[in-house]
Amino acid sequence: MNWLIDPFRSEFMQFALATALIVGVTAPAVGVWLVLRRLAYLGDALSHATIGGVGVAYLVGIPLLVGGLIAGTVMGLLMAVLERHERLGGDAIVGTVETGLFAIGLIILSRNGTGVELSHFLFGQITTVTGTELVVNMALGATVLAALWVTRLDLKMATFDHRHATSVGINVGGLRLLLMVTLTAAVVVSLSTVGVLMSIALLVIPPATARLVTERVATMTTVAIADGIAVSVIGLIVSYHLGTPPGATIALVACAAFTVAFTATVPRRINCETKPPAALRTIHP
Amino acid sequence: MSHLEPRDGVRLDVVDLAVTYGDRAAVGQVTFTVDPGEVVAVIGPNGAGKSSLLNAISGHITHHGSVMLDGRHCHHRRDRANLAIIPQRSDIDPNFPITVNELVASGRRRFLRVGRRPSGADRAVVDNALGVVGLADLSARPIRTLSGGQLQRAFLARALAQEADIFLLDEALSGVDQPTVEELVGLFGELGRSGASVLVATHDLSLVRRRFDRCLPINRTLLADGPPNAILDEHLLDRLFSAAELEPSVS
Repeated sequence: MNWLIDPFRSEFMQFALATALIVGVTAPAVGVWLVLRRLAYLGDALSHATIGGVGVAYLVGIPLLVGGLIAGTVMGLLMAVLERHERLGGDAIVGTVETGLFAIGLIILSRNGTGVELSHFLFGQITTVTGTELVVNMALGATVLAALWVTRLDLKMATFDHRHATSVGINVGGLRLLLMVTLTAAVVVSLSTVGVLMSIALLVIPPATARLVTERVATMTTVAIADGIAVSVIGLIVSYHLGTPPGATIALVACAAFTVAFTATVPRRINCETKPPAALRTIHP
Repeated sequence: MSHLEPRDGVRLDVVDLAVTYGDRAAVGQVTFTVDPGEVVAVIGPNGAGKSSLLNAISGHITHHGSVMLDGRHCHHRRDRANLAIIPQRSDIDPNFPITVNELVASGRRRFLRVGRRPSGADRAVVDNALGVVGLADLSARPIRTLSGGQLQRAFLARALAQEADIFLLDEALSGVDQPTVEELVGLFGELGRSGASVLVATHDLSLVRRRFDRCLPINRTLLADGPPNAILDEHLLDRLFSAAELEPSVS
């Protein structure tokens, strides 16, 4: 039991735990929609682009979180404008914009004199989270969750069949923008925890794990959040005892949970592929 | 007891409708009218512009020309809220985690505000729609367990729950076995008798000859308009499936 409690006796580890819980809830809640829309790569791209905003924020002296949010919004707008290009697919546009913004951030942050440890953002530094950062992350996380909760039914319709969603009066473009903004906020919240390179771990792996074992969006969201919380806390405890980087450890624990779910559902998937659906068997015996 | 509510229906006028993608004409200067209760086949080969025509009518792609409902121009999407488009299976993710009931209930969204769940009255409409298409017993099933025909019936139920007056079916009969196709066409007939208008895009000539009273052969432009057995002669079929017709320039 002490093995579980010992890590959280100090204040900085209590802050780390609170931050891990915020990220563990927020990132999977957004990630569910990325996985359902098959846009997992977008989460990865946006997390890289955020570094550009962080770098510019240092240069002009504004809060890093604001810089990250601006970079995410810029990327969303650029994609909206450029993705209608006749000769290029959306993935090529995302790859180009993402790399450009990431490179800007790397160059700024790697210059001498900024006083910034680049690895802090690349790999996360959950044990150095301050009280102020915690409050900001909590506010951002709560806003993201509230926005997703209010629009959940419309998001489901627009994700499944955007033409029908449009015809019944849903603002599909507005929802897409909302998703980009909430995704950016989730990435910014993840920056200090698992870092840019690992933020995709909590955005995509818990929802992907949940998708393997559930058949409804509401259940998938609940399971993804539960998984996100569990892997964040377990990862933090393991990293404390083994002295490994927290971000990478959390990502590995998430991968382990996915592997267990994937392996456990193999028999069910094989069964589904070899037998026709029950409905078909009933009607066409 | 589930039943189709009789309705006044809506007349659809399509006037000089044209769709272009860049410098390529997908549909050029198409004009026709569909009266309430008519069940019409839109027929043509792949790439002839059937889907573009239906998407333009439903307001999902920009177009030239006019779409009018009961003589009123549809300038905005909200003017076409009683138009329902039913996708083909390949247009959606058949493994999406949604139940039949949730799918059909999504038709009620036009009557609800953001974030509001369907009321008891909405649920009664959904139950009735499920009963009309014969899916009441499968309402709790995930859609991935449905056959192709059952999925199309679920989409029809969604359109009924939407209280649509015009049903646009975009190759909805593709990938469905023949007995189910016959069942679905029978259901279109019932919809027509209730006052709804149904436009079905298909490339199944034999089905159109047997089961439809009116067809619109399209190959970028509308080639004819009338009863299939009267207009689908050898000359028109040559034009309908001619590669030359598939590459017209923008006029």
